[in-house]
Formats: sequence, structure tokens, C-alpha cells
Amino acid sequence: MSTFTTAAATMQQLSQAGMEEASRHGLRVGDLEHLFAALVLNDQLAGRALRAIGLSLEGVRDATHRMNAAHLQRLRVTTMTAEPQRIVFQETRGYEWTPRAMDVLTAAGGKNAGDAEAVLRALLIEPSGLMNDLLAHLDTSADAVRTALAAEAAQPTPLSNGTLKSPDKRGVLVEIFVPAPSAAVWSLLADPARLPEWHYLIGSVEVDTAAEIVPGVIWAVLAPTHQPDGTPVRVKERFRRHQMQLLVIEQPNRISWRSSYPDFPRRRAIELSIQITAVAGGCQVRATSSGTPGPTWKTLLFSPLHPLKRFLDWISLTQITAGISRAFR
Amino acid sequence: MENDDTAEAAAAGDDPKSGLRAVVALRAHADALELREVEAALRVGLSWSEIAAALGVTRQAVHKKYHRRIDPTIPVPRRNP
Repeated sequence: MSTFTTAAATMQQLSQAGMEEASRHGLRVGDLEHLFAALVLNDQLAGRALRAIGLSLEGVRDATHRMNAAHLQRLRVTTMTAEPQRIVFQETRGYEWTPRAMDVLTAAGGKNAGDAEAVLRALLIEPSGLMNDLLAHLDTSADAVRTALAAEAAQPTPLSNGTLKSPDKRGVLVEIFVPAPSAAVWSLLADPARLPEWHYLIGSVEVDTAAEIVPGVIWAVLAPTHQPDGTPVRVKERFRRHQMQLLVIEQPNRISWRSSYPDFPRRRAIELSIQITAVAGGCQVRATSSGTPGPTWKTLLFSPLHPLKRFLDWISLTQITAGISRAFR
Repeated sequence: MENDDTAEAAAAGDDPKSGLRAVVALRAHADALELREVEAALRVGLSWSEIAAALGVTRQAVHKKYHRRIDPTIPVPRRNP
């Protein structure tokens, strides 16, 4: 994976997770503590190193709350901070990073790798002192994190092959860390009635409760008609109905579907495969998505657009995997 | 908040940067409260101008800051309906 691709993918993943954290607190501006929370969730080396020293999303949230309470107390401000709400990032707009958080992200790029490790290293030397403060509330330190990074770098890479392409080269691949036990993630993914909880293109499922959940079974699925906040969603009629066919179900860690549009048969079917692996503090979810191959002439004709199409497919798969992670946050 | 308290904290050997970080935390807290109050005001039908006047800023300033950030389900008043 090129430095540019790495940096773009990292920025997209950290920005989404960081802004989701900010949105829980009624904020539309993400700051250093939200970026750090996003790093703890990250599937790259940086996230693995942080989790290896016992850090978790809940721990970071709790430490941030205690740190902010101590700050307000220092100013002799007595106020009740509002309880965090659910994540509303997907249904609100106008998000941005604070200038100092942008400085960290910018410093991680340039001559550096632009990956999550570079972001974490830049965060550890940010000049405000907030990170040292937060790490102290987590009973750790910047040096301990650097040591963990070095130790993790010496480990063999567990799953990621460092590419956005799926192993069959036809599709795209996204790996994420989910802060929940693999059994809980499996329960979410293997239950067709729960598809709308994590798949952003699915609003409702017609499930025949008597039908056995075996490979080949097909569920009728409808696109969402409303956002979680009630805003209507406009969907073209031909994309309103889907069919989700279960291709593989290997309890407790591998599941695969093929989705197609019965009202738009020319549209290629998409295969989505998900594999779950238990890791420290949660599980690793590896998702691949690929379209069924079209005619050769069409493949050749549109070959110049392949990089763009691959990127759009990757963004779509990122939304799906983010939905799985969000279901546990 | 009293000046004496801040001076006391500084005299006690507190890191002065800690006080500055505390102000940043207070500002973030105020920002969250301000967004919540702007949304509440819009929900009961206040106009952007009325909200701006209450906040002591221009209508343009409050609209620019919040029109994209508020809950999209809130019916937003238009100047020329």
C-alpha cells in the first residue's frame, strides 16, 4: 500500500471514529482526546500497542471524563457535565478537527508514514500537555506507549496484508477492531433480523422465523426510508428492494452473503464476506466485498475507472464495518 | 471563579499549563452547552436573529456556526419563507 493510500485510509478511519466520539458529547469539533480514542479502536499497529498495555475505549472515555472534571474543578467551576448521548455523527454535519488535532494529523503525514503509528507518535509529543495529562489518568505514560509500539512492531502482523484489495483481487478489504467479544459480534452478524443495526443500506428485513438459517436461504430486504433521527431518505425505486442470500455461515467466525437488486437485474451482485478473530480487548473483523464479474468487454472498457471504483467500494465497505463497530459503542 | 483561587492554585505549585488546559476544557463544555441551547431555541420557534441577539453576536455569525451542526430534523426558520 502506498504512503498516500495509507495516509488517506488512516485519516478516513481516525476522523470517522474521532468525530463519532465527539458527537456523543454534543460537540462538532474533535480534539486530541477524541483522536486518541479513535487510535485505541484502530486495527493498525498503534491500536494493538495501546490495547496491549491495557487501554480500552471505555477506559479512555472514563479517564477523559475524570480529566475534564478535574480541569473544571481547578477553575472552581461547579457544573454538571451532560451524560454522553448515542453517536449522532451519521445524522449531523459540520464536523471538523481543532487546529491542534489537525497539526497532529498533518505532522503524521509529509515525510512520515501517515499511518496510525505516525499519528500516535505525533500525538505523544503534542505541545499542550493534554496527552501526558490523559495518559496519567490512565496510569500510563508516553514512554510506556512508545515501548509498547516498539514491542508490537516486533510481533508478526496478525491479519492485515497491508492492502485495500481483497485476496481475490476483484474486491476490497477492510479490517477493523471491534471493542466487543467475538461471540457478541457473531450474534449481531448471524441474525438476519439485526442486519439494519449495522448495514447502512438496509432499513428492514422480512425474516421468515420458521426458516432455517443455512447457506442458500434468501431474505427480502428494504432500503432505509428514514435516518435514525427521522429524516426521510430518498432512494430510487429500483434500489429499494434487495435480496440477501446467505452463502456461507461457519459458526462462530465466518459468514458471507450475496446481495442483488431484483428490480434492477443488470446491476451486478455484491458478495460480502466477514471473518471474526478474537484478539485482546475485543475482536478483529475482516470484511471483503466484491462484485460478480461482468462481461470482458465491459471490464476492458471501464478499466481506466477501476482505481476510482475501487476507492468508492472501499468507502462503502468502510461504512459497513463502521456500523458493526458502532453497534458496540 | 475567583482570582484568589487561581493565584492560590499557582502558588501551590500547579503547572500553569494545567490551568490553560482547564480553560480549553471549559470552552469545549461551553460549546456543547451552546449547541444544545441553540437547538432548544430553534425547536420552540426562535429565529436566527433572536438567537443571535441573545448570544450577543450577529445573525450571520450564529447562522454560519450552527446551520450545519444542528439536529437536521429541527424546522429552521427562513428569513424569506
